[in-house]
Amino acid sequence: MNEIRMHVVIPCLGLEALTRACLLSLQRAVQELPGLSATVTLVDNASEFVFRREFFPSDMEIDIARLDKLVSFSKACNIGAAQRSDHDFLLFLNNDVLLHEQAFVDMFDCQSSYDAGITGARLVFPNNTVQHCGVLFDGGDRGPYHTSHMVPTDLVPREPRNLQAVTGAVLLVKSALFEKLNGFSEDFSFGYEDIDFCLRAKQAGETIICPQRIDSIHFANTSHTEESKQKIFQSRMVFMANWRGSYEIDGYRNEP
Amino acid sequence: MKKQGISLLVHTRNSEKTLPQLLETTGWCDERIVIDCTSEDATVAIAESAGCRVVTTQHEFFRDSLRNEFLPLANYSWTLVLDSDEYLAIDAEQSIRNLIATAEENIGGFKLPRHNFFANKFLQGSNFYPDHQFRLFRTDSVQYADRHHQIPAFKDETLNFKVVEGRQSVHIYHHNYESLAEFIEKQARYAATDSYETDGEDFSFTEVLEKAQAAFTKFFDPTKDGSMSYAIATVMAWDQVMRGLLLWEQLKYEPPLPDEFPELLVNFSFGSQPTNVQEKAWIEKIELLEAENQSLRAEIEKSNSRLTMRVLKPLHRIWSKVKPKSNS
Repeated sequence: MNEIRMHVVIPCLGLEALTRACLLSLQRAVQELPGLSATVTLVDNASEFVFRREFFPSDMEIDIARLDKLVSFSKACNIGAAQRSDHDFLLFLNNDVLLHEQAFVDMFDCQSSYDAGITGARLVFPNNTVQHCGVLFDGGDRGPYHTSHMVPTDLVPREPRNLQAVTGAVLLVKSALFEKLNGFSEDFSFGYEDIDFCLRAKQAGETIICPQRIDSIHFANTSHTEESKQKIFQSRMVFMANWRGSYEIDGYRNEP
Repeated sequence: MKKQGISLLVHTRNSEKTLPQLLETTGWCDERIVIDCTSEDATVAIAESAGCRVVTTQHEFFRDSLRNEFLPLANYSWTLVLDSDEYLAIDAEQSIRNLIATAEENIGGFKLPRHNFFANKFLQGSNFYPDHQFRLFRTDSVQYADRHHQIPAFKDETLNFKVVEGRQSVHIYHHNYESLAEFIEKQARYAATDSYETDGEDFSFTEVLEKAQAAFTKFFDPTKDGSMSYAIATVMAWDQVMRGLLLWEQLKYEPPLPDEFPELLVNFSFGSQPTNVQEKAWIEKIELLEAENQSLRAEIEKSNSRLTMRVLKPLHRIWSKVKPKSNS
């Protein structure tokens, strides 16, 4: 396999211990794919307890980009992406994700097979039900939704899915594409920036794929507060105002 | 007339480990001046390769007053002073430029909050947060005193500073010490190289102990920083004792330390919650003095034998009266 340089951006608001576990899972997953190397930027988004480099694995190439002021998730992602330019792929990773050791084997296999601009990942909750295996779009007010959400993972097919969008919790994108699209839109305070980004990539003719063979764990909603729920609501309003009527309707399918 | 903008001034000495992080987060300053004090490592090369203007000085030990000599080098209207083991957040530029843009005419500078890391522990209290530092000021408006870690004074008394408050405001980040060993070594060096007021009449070892107790209380904050707080408070208290002795040395060892010096020191307690052993020792001491001063006993009983300087002070007063002064 050719050398692949991947820059991983992990926006963080607290959850230092979970972030460490996330990094260890990332390290192991990188080691499983020969030729893959990773650099990491932790964007410490004004966490109350300032992130310390010493707390994280010393044998990983990790930078901490500390912010004094809390910024939107999308801006934190963009800031993290801008920290380095020496990469072929960007991976946006939530710090409450524990990657399966075969996650990158699965993702890059799928990415290269489909020459995908954006590649997602199949994610499960700790109880082994599906958290994400792709984003579908329903008509009307529902709009985008996670299909097969909370369905036992063993009941959900394992064929890669060609989609209009995947979650930003684990989102692999060609660096050139990210640059071409000017990163995530910072109009979104929290949530829907990932779907907006995927739809713009789709409009640009890119393939978006979600491999299904490997499940990584996503705790999800670990840092949601009443304030963040409000931000998600605002983001949804922005998203629907911008995109309603512009995406293909997949219908509502939450069965396996 | 200085140009509108921000000059960064940094003093370095063998700072190759910490300087890169400072330089990474201050590239937006309009000019960066590094004053190097006889570094023997790659400090100068690092600063030069980052585009800094490097000025070397033969001073071996840095003191804040040295800044006075180099403040006039700043070509811009505001000066930001950082230590070589400090850095800023990556979004600091906007915050600092906003502070300057909105500063009223009588505002000569800003005290910025500082986050401190001690032996890789992020300190939340122990007098180390918010730890405001007067580091951003109008160029040519301040003068440093000839001591370590002194707040600079405005030359123009009509100027004031503003304290920047809030968790989400701009902060300085400071990797204080990697270990207790480094902390103790540096405190000792600061104490040994500092300047002292040598007004002999004011010197009193009891006052030294009072300052030590005050230092302990100031830095003792276990609810926020756990056992590290005990360590910091103890070192800072002993720092006062060391400084007291260094002052005494500069006074040519005059007046002589009190004869009861060993007892004072051995029985001195920093904490406000004495152990039974400490309390017992003090009760024994009080009993010895009982014959000499009944009123003292009453006072001690009233305060329920708590080990504080309220006790130490009257003890010393009585001893001073009883013991003949050898230098008079």
